[in-house]
Amino acid sequence: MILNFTFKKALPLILIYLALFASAAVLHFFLNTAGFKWLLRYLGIAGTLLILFSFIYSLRKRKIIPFGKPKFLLQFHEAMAWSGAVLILAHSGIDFEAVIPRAAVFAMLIVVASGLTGKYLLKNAREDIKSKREELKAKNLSGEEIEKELFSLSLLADKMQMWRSVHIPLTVIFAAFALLHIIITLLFWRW
Amino acid sequence: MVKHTAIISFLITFLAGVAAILVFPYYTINPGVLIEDHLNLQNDCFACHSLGQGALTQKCISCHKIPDIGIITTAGASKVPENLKSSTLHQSIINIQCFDCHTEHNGLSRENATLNFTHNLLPEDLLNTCVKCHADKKPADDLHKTINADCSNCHQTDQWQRVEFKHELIGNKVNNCSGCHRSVMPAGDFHKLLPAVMQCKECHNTNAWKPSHFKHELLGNKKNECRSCHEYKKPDDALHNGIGKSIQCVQCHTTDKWKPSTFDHTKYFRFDNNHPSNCSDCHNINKTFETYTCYNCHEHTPARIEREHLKEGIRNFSNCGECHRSGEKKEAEGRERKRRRGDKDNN
Repeated sequence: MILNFTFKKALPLILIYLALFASAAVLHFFLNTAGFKWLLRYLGIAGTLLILFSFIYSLRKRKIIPFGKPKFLLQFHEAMAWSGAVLILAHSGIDFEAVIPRAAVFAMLIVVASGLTGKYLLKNAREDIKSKREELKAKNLSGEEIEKELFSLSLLADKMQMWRSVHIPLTVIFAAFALLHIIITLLFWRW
Repeated sequence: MVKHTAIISFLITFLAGVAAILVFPYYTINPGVLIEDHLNLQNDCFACHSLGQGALTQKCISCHKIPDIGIITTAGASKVPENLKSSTLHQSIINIQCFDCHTEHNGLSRENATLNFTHNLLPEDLLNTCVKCHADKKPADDLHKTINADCSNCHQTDQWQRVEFKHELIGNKVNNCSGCHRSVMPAGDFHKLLPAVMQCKECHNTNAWKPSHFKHELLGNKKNECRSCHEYKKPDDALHNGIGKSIQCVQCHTTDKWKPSTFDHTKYFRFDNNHPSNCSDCHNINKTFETYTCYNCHEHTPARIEREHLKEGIRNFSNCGECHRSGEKKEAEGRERKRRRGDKDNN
């Protein structure tokens, strides 16, 4: 029962991940057959810019920028990063020979999977807190006592901190491979 | 903690990547396999590339001297056989960069390395002199032997098979249609019937084979042999089925217009109330319209007819229609008088 319930919650995220591959394949096929193959080369730039744009959320979270609602910016981060990943995956279909760009693509796919895992954990943790609150309310504790109890549990903070310690290093590994690919392209490509 | 882990992860990955690129450039950054002849350069990126400028023409021609292309290899040996097509092409082109046509990292095959080539890059004089490069592909058929004009008059570089042939290119041979079109000449009776001296252009033109503009006069004295071509058009009715082969179509029809026919029964007999146009009343012998009889009613019994004609002194009365072109007795008497005078007029 618990397993079924968990899978049910994870299913939308799995579908979002699969949609990433499907969208990239469709985009690649369309551009290839419609005579816009050359455009695939520039999708890498567009995808990278979208992903960089998505980091506005990270800047807000670290209070480097003071504006924007974190909840909205998190959704923005998810959407931009997913869209950027679609463009980069379509772009990667041109040549898939060299190790560095190949590693960058694999790292990107792992980061997207990690991001979706974080989304799942966040949703799960919020539901844990909600059920814990209900449980404490049933014990007739005051509102202040409930919040105090929940804070001490630090359910959400603990889980997400653990997840971040994986997601962020994965992201920078992707960034390192992507940066190497960009530098190599700038050096060897005819612009 | 996460921050440190991130920085360390980045640095390790980046530096490991740089090291891998320096040690194994071909495997780490090469976007695709080089052509077979360039495989020896696979770890020497700068043999072709210049930083930030891609593969410059200067680097290509430092090995591939333009006058030598197609004739002498980069190692200085003579090419056997010489590739004159390549030589002509490369010596004719100006203001073109190698990478306009050539690409690399596209597989071992040389064909893949020139996929960017398009005829539009060629100078106009070369573009309009196809044989300079494609002389070996000129078909050896009669048509192409006849034509001295450039291929581009009929063919296009992007769609070679979509031919827009112009007959004026073959000069005065334009009148010798069968030189090229003998195989498409219909084998039916109609074309066999045509006089041998007749030219196709008398009916057809070079813009469109069909429709033709046939005139029956072209058939000369054979133009009356309608059945040779139109037998299948002969109506399957009692009238036409009753006509024997001795009767020619032209006796009723003209070559200008098949319908209406010029057949006029009044020339032979005029119908009236006593003689209605019921064919089988008179044409009842062997179901043919070539013969007739007037002895099918009570008025015209053989004995009575014989008696009446002999009474008038008429002995030759077997062909009623010779004198009787209607039911009017007086008209027949007039013809009989003429006949007696020796007038041969049948009308």
